[in-house]
Amino acid sequence: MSRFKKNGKKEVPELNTGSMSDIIFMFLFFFMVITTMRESEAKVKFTEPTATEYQKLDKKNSYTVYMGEPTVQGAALLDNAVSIQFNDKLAASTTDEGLKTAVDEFVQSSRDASALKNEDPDKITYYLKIDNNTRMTAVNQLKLALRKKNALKIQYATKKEVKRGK
Amino acid sequence: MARKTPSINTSSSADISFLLLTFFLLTSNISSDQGIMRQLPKYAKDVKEMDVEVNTRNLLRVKVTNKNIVMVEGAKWTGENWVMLSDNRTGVNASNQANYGGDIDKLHELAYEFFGNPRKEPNLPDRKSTPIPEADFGNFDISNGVISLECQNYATYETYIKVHNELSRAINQLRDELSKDKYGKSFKVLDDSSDDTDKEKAKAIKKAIPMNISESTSN
Repeated sequence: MSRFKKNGKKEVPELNTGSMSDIIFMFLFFFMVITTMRESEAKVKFTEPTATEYQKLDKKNSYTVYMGEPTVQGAALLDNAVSIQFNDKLAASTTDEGLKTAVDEFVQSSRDASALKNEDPDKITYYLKIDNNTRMTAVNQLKLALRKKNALKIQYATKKEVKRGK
Repeated sequence: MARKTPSINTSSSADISFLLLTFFLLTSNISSDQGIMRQLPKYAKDVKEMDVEVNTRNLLRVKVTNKNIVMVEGAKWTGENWVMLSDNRTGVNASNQANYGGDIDKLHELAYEFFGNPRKEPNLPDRKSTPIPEADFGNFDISNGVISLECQNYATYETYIKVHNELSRAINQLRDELSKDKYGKSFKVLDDSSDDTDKEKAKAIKKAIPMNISESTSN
């Protein structure tokens, strides 16, 4: 019966973990390639409306405007307690005059940045991320300011609509 | 005397790359940005609002009220002045209204009929033969229809986008039909294509079926 006797000296062979880091590095590169860095942090809360007829945003030549309830204290409020954020910065003033200067500055800096990246500054898409419950007065104020600055190509941010039963 | 180099312990490199991985996972977003494209009209300094004379048959008025009820000028179809479309998804219910017309989904059907005017009805838009230079498209009878979208000040953005979505849907449907008819490909395929001739074709179709929406505000 000695055939079945266990050899007490035998140990579990050690796992070779040398290739583990390679595998994880491969994961890492995969994620780095398919993702993009967040360019600006939203300082306002917003839920995008849903839509079915959306188009993909051309990321290379687009600049974002956020509109919604601010998450930070002391933000300048528009009608219905919403704030506007341009790229990274919350608008400091929401009077017609203040908004106009903020939009002027935003459009100008976008055009400069676009020209630096060898893109056409006249073909910039202004990506508007606006909260569902925003009143149209505020939206129209922003649109009018953009129009005055001849920034005419806009895209309203929407989410994919979840299919609902008929 | 050659000294033996001690082997480097590499077990922690897996941990380090794990940390890097989690860092990139947290700071990046995979979701692609998308939305509804619109071209704003040029701002005219002297003219308060551009008053362009439009024949009544060529105009369809759509209104979003302060209470988020979407109203469509019904005279073209039912004889009622305004047909109300409620939005069941946001809980706004207009069923107690006398001339309740249905769900907001109906708007794209109405807009489709308006821009397409398949039966050449005299109260729906007429067409004007216009040459389209892109992609040797030739002449096309472009619809003269304009949708006038009036938004009251206290309407919410959500309803506004829904209306835009429905209007886009109607236009996309018409463009798709024309594209399949003429080129045998769907419009989306042509528009997303990286091929230059396909892009030119998409441009021609966009010109043939323009998105004519004029917006205004009111109290």
